[in-house]
Amino acid sequence: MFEATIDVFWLITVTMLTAFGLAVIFGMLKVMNMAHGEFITIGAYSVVLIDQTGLPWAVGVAVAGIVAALVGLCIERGIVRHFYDRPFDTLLATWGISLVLRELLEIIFGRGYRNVSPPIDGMMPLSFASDAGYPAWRLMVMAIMILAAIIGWLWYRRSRVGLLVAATVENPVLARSLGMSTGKIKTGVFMVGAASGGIAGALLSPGLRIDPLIGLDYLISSFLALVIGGVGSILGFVFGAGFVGLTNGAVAQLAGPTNGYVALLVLAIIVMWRFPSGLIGLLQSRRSQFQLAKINDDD
Amino acid sequence: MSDFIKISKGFSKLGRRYLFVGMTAIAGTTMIGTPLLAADPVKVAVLVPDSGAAGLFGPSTRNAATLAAEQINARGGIAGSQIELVFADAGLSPADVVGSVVRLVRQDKVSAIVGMHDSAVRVAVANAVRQQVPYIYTPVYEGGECAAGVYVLGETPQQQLATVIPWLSNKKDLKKWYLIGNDYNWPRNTNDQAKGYIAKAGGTVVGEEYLSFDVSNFDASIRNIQASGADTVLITLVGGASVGFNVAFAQFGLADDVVRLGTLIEENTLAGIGAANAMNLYSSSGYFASNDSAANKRFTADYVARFGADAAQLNSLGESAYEGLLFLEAAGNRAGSLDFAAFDKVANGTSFNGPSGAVKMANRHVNQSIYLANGTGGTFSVEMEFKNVASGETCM
Repeated sequence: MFEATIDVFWLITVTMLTAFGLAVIFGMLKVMNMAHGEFITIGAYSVVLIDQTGLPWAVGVAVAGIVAALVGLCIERGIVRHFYDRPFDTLLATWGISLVLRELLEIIFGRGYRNVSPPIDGMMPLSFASDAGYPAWRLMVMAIMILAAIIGWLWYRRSRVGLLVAATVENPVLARSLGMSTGKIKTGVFMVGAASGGIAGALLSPGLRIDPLIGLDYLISSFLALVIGGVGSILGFVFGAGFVGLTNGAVAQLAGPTNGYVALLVLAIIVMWRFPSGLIGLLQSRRSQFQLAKINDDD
Repeated sequence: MSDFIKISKGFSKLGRRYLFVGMTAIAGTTMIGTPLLAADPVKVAVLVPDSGAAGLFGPSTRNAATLAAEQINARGGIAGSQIELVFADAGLSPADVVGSVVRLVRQDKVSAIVGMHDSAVRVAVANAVRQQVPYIYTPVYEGGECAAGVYVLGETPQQQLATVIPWLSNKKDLKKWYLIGNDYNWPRNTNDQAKGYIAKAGGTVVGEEYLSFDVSNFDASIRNIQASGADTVLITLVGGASVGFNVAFAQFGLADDVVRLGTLIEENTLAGIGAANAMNLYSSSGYFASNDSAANKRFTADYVARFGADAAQLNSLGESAYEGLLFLEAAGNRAGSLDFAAFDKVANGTSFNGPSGAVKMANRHVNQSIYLANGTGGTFSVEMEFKNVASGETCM
C-alpha cells in the first residue's frame, strides 16, 4: 500500500514538474507554447554537459534553469511578444521554434541516447516491515519539488513582484496605465516558465532516456494535465497534475500502464466535454453555487 | 533561366566551366557512391531510416552501406560492374516509401534494393517490388517473411533464442522468466518462440506483459516483476521504452539479483541505459561492435578510418546494411549478373564472410553466428559465439 502511494506521488511529481512551465505561460500569458517540451530537453542536456565536466549535479540543475531562461528570453523578445493577441499564431510560431530547437539539439549532440547518473545512488528503505526500498534520488526530487512549491507560493502571495505579475495578468491595460512595465513582466513570466521546464528536465534526467526528440512526449502529457485541471489558476494546475498522476498511477497498478494512459485520455475527453473549464472550474462553480445558496438561506 | 544565362555570360569561359562543375556536384549530392569508371555503374537502392522512430540508426546505416559499396567497387564491383548507391528515406509511412521505391525501380532503374527498416515498410515494399529486382532485408525482425524475391539476412527470434536460452539458463541457473515487451508483432512472436525454449530448458514463465509505446513510466511493471519472484526478465521493449525500463529496473535495485536478456539491445540503447544500470544485462544479437574477432576488428578499423572516430556508433542494425551489400556481391558474382531470375536461382546456398562471421543463405534466410554479450560496465563483452545458427524459417 505504501509502495502504491509513493508510486502515485512520483507520477504526480513528474506531471507537476513537467507541466508547470506550460501552465504558467498559458495561464498567465495566454500563449500556447508548443516549444515547451524543448525546454525540458534543454534541461536534460545541460546536465549531460555538466556531467561530462565533473561538476556536481546541482550545478547542472542551475545551468539548466539559466540556459532555458535565456532561450526563453530570446523566444519571447524575438517572436512571441508580437503575437500576444493572436493565440493561433503563437501556436504556429512556437511550433516552428520547437522544430528549429530539435534540429539544433540534434546538430549539437547527435541522435544517440545519452545517460546521466543520479546525484545520490542507492535506495532508501520505506518502512520497517519490508526490505523494499525506493530510489533515493527520486525521494530527493520529490522533496525539492514540495519545497519549491511552498517557497514559490509564499513568494507569489507575499512579494511585491508577485503582486505586479498578478496585476498584469488580471488587467494589463490598467496595470500599464498605473506605470507598470507590463512588457518586462510578461518577458519575466515567460522566462520563469522556460526555466521551470529546464529545471524539470534536469531534475528528472537520471531516469530519462535523453535524445533530441523527448520534448514531444512532455508536450502531450502537459497539455493533458492542463485540460483536465483547468487553466488559469495555480490551484487548478495542482489539481490537474494531481488528478492525472492519481488516475494514471492507480489504473496502472490495477490494470497495467497501457490502461493507465487510456484512463487519462478518457478522463480528458470527459472533462473537455462536460467541464470545459477543467475540474477546477467545476469546483469553483460548485463553491459559488453553495455560497449563493447560503446567502439565500440567510434571508 | 534567362537570368542564369546572363550571369554565366558574365563569367569567363573558365569560370563557366567551374560553375557547371559546381552545379553538377550540388545536383549529385543525393547520389552517393564511387565515381564513374568504365561502363555505366549498376545502381543499388538502399532504404535507410533517416526519420521516424528508427531515425537513430540512419547515420550508421548510411555509413555502413557507403563503406560496403566502396570496398566492393575496389574488389571489382558486382558481376564486373561498379555499383552506385541511391539512398531513400525508409522512415516515412509505408505508402510514402513505396512511392520512393517505385520511382527508384522505374525511373532510376536500380538493379537491387537493400532495406534496413521496420516490417510494415518491408511488407509494403515487397508488394510493390514483386520480384522485379532482388530485395534484401537486413535487420533483426519477427520472422515469417516468405514472399518471393525477398532475401532476409536479419536475425529471427528462433535464431536469437534457440541456443542462447538453454546456455544462459544453465550458466546462471535461471528458473523463473518474466516476459516484457512493447505491444506489436515482433515482441509477441519472440515471446511465443521463447516459451518453448524456456520450457525445454526447465524454466517456467511467471509473467508476461505488453506495453503500448506511449508508456513512459515503468514502475508498475517493475512492481509486477518483484511480486512474481522472477529471476530473469526477457526484454522485447524497443527504443526509449527499453532505456526507461532498464534504467528504472536498476535504480530499484533489481539488477544484482535478476538477470536481464534482451534481443534488441544494441550499443545506442546501452549508452542510454548507462554503465551503472547495466549490471547482468545480456543481449543476443548477430553483431556487436566490440566483438574482437579478426574480421570485426578489420571492419571497425575501416569504419573509423573512413568516417572518423566521432562517426555514428556502429551497431547491429547499421552494420546489417553492410552485410546486405556483401550478400548482394556474393550472389551477384555467383549468378554473373543482378538479373532477378539468375539471382534467385543462386540465392539459396550463397555464402560470404562478414564482420560477424560466416553467413550462408538457406530458405531465403541465413544461417549465421549469434553472439551473447554481457553489458555489465557499459560496453558489450561477448561471452559466447554460437556458430552457424539456423534461422528456423522454412520458406520454399
